[in-house]
Amino acid sequence: MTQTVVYGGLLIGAVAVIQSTVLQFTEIAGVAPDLVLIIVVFMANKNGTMTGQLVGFLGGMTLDLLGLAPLGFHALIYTVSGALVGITRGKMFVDPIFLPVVLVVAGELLKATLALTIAGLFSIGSVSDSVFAARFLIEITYTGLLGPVVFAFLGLMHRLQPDRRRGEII
Amino acid sequence: MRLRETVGKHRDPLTLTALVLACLVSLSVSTDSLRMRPAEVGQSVLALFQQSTSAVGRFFADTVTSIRELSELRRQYDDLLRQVRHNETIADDITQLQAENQRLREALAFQTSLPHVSVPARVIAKEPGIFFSSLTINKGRTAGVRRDSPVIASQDGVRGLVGRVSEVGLTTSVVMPIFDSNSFVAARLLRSRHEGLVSGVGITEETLTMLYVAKSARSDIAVDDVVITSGMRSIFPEGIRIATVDSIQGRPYETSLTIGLRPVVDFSRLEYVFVLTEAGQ
Repeated sequence: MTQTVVYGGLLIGAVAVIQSTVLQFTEIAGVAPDLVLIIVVFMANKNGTMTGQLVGFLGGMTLDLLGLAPLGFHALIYTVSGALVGITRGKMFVDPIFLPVVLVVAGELLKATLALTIAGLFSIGSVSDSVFAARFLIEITYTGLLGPVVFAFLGLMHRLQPDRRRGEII
Repeated sequence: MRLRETVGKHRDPLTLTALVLACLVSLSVSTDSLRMRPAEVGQSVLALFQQSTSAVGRFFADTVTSIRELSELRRQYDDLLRQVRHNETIADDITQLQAENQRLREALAFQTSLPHVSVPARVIAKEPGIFFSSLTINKGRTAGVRRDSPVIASQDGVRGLVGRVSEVGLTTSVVMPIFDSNSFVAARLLRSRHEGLVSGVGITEETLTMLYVAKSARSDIAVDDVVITSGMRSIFPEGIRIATVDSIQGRPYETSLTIGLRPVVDFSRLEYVFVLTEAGQ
């Protein structure tokens, strides 16, 4: 599991950097897809709660360091999201299209709920404005539609990985 | 006997041939064209074959040559097409370089015209999530950038306020833009001189709000009025353009006006900014 978490952490860190730089060129109405969330959802669903929450924490912490969010804001959201999505491991058959969309959209809704809760608890402004706005709907749609593509890519990486004896996914 | 049978059998064609020959001779005589010697006649007859053979030969030679020429033309066409595409790429590059050169010239002229010491920087990233708003620039503490330094930009010859430095690293800094809902700037209407506080809405980078403008100022304010920094007890120096008035709302139950603003800076195409390192001093 350690190896999976280390690889996952490196991957999600790189993706977070890409999300803040390159992905701004793919924005729709000023909104870029949340690739970090897709990866957290994928790894949590494939590897379970522990891996999901650890990778979620690393990804969220990277996002906090890259932007203006208070340190721990995204880390908490993605950690809890990873842990909760990890419960679904082995409980459902993940088809190539439908379930990735469902899992990612559920992850987005979970993210919004957690963000509102944390913002309320820590008196962080601007979060509710973002959640109850059209841009959040755009992000859900954009990220949801991208879910199957990223799932397929990560699945391919998994198949190319030589050592899968423990059934862990990277 | 046999001849008679043969003639009798082919009477019609033979008659025709005879008649034709008679006509030809008659014509030749009457037109005075029968002056060729036998050698000339032979040569003329052979010339028909020569011409025919030559024509057929030329046809095949031309065909082969045409195929070769087509092949050559095709190669030349491909070469020219490649050259045109290459030239188009070069032209695009030149256009982009000219545009970048123009932007950099404007930026340089802008920097030298500033009354403050400034650090030019490039925007390299944006906030990766939707809950906050920030820009990351490629200058940090080593370049003299300090926390809360004002950040401005020049677009289309107009200098406008971008925000302030919120976090400083060694080589990069994070800027809180004025459209962030946590951003507040002491401001003044340029024409009517009324003061207020400009705040971001947070959702969109195209809208700002000016609060706490006295209700009595309603008649002095018009759409498209310019809003500048007031410089009063603020980290922002005086006189930097922030936005223009977009809408004015004065609700009966409120004691002040709420003015909707359009930022001067178009954040969607922001590339270069200037960090004022000695603002307010």
